[in-house]
Amino acid sequence: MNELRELAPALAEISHATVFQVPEGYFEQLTGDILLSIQPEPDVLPAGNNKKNGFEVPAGYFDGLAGSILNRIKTEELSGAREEIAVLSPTLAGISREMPFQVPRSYFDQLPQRVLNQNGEAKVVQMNVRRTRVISRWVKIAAAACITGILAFGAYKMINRNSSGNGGTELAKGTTQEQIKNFDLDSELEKLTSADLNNYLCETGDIACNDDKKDEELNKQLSEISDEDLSKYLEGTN
Amino acid sequence: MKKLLFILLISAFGGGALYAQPPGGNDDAATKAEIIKILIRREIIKRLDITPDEAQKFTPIFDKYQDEWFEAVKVNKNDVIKRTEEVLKIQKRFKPDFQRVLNSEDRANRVFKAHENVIDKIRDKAERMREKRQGGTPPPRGERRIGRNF
Repeated sequence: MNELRELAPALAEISHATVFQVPEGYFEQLTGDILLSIQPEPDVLPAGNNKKNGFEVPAGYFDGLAGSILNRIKTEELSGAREEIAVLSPTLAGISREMPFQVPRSYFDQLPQRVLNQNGEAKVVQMNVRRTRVISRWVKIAAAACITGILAFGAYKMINRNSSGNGGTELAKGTTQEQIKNFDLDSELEKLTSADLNNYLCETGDIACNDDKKDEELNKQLSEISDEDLSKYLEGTN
Repeated sequence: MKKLLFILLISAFGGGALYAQPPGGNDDAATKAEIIKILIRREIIKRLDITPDEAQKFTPIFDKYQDEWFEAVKVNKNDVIKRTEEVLKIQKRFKPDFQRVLNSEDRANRVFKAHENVIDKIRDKAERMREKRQGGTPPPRGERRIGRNF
């Protein structure tokens, strides 16, 4: 206590008496008081009017309520859609909604009977089966002919090529003494054409490679020069 | 079915058009060139008096030489110096082989000489045939354009 006075004299001066007070028996009665406070209140409505809640609706109001709401919604939707179409496309909005076609009354009810009562039978259109078969047969024959032709042509070319190849093989075989002795280059070259020899020379870049067009041009130019001038030129070069 | 027929017809006409190329096309020219090579070889065998036994060994070597020679002159047809050099290289390379199968250096050298002469003869023959085809009278042999391969 002395230590407290030294440290905090103001605190030591405060009285130790309890500042709050409750009436006597407060806590003993507290439970009963709470229970009493949460009990339902007695009916505040007047005694003679306790079955009415103060609001009234006309008789049969709820019977037609759903239908009247739906009608109102439809009316609003239709008017809204029409207004929108009128804004977007006045031409479309201006088109009448009336059905332009009309049929006599009970037309469709009588239609089957009228059809059945018509004289004669309906015309039946048949496909020309025979003609189709003939065409199909010709197509098959033509296809077979084409395949045969292609195969025959290919075989002919192959045989022809092999025969020319065999000629080369035969030439290569000629190595007996008699074949060597009897070989004549001149007569063998005769079997080839001028173009064949020319092609070979041209392939090797030989000076004798002849271009017929160039020869023709040269001959044409030379023909325009007189023989006398050509003789003088040759004499000059010798 | 009609589509199939159409394809077949196109194939037939297309194939026909391809085969209808005029004679003297690349394929035909290559075949004829091979025939001329064989004729050259047989003429050389004849000129050099090569026996059948020697010819059996000589033929594959000469064919190889001739193929390389043909390729070299073909590739370098527009460059005379390069062409001469390449031909010389090939001749140098093949000379030992020819000497081995012909049993003589002189005969090996004569192979190259004979090859040149046969080419001359082919050139001469081509010119004569061409002039004959054109209806002119071929000049005497002495006055003809005789030269080497270039």
